Amino acid sequence: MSIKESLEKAFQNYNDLTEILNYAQGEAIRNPNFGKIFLSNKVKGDKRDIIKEHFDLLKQKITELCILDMIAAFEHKIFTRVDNAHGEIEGIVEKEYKKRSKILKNSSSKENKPTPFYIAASSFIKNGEDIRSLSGIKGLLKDKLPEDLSEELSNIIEYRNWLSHGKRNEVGKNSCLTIGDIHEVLNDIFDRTGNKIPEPSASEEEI
Amino acid sequence: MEFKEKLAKLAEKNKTHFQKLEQDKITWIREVTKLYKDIENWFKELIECGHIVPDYYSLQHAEYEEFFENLSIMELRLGGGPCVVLEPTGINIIGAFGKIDLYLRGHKEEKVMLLLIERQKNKLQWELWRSNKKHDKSPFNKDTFEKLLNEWIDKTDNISEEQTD
Repeated sequence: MSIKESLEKAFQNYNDLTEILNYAQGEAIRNPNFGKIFLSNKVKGDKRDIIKEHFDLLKQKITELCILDMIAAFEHKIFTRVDNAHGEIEGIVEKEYKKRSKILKNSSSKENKPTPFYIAASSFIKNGEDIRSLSGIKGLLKDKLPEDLSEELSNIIEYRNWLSHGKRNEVGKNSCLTIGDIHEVLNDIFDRTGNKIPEPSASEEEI
Repeated sequence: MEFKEKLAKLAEKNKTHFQKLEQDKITWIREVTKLYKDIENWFKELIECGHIVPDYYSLQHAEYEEFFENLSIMELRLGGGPCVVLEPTGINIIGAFGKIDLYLRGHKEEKVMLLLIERQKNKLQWELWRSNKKHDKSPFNKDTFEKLLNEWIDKTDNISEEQTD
């Protein structure tokens, strides 16, 4: 499954689960036998309101879980891409740089450029192990993303941390991004890390 | 840097951080309370004739104990039917001073955000954000709130029509 499909699937799961909850909510309000499952014994106030309140909490939970799921899908695919790119780039640098050094050794032409440190050429490449988190990806793409997109990625990382660490003030921060915004941002970033230069994003067009 | 000096600097830093946090909590409580009062004023006539009924409930989740003690969820019952919820979520948020989730009871998946934002130094203002996109953001005032409530009333009318079909 491609990243597009993975992100789409995660977003679709969210939409499906929300639809199911909406249906169940309607059914719980219409059908007292089903509705009582969601009511405690000592109900005070309008039962419909209590059922709706209960489902609002479930929807909140589903949204948060689906956001985490979407980010996990993104991580899974982007790190595969990081590994592939790292292997390829390392191979090219080793091959081309060392090849040049061999030509230099066998030639007296002044046109050949020198190849200092050729024995350690691959050490100049960032190690794949250095990019094992979303923050690593952000560091890798530093200055390569439009400012707003880079900020949104930071925002997503903070939000993911906040959600996955129990919404504590010490770890991460809440966010103004909706699940739809996150879906769009992650798609955009994935496009930009691919082979093609992507179309300008909506936010860039706005600028 | 000497140990003594280092400790003094650390203590000063933490004191400043603590003081700022305490001030932020007070500001948040003050601004949310003021917003609730403003809303009641905007709809004073409708509240007096009973077409809008405001109610207040305890928060279910809060970042600090002070928020549980001093803030509430505001509900506005519209025409005896749908219920609009304003739920303060707190101040630990990126890009804003604080956030309130605003939604129609039973439709939290379509919530919008009320963000307290400092656009100018020392000047906080409420903004209504439907998403993170520029065109989905507007100042929050009587007109924008009324427009939103209008949309939601139409929506619930559609829903009840669909359910009776």
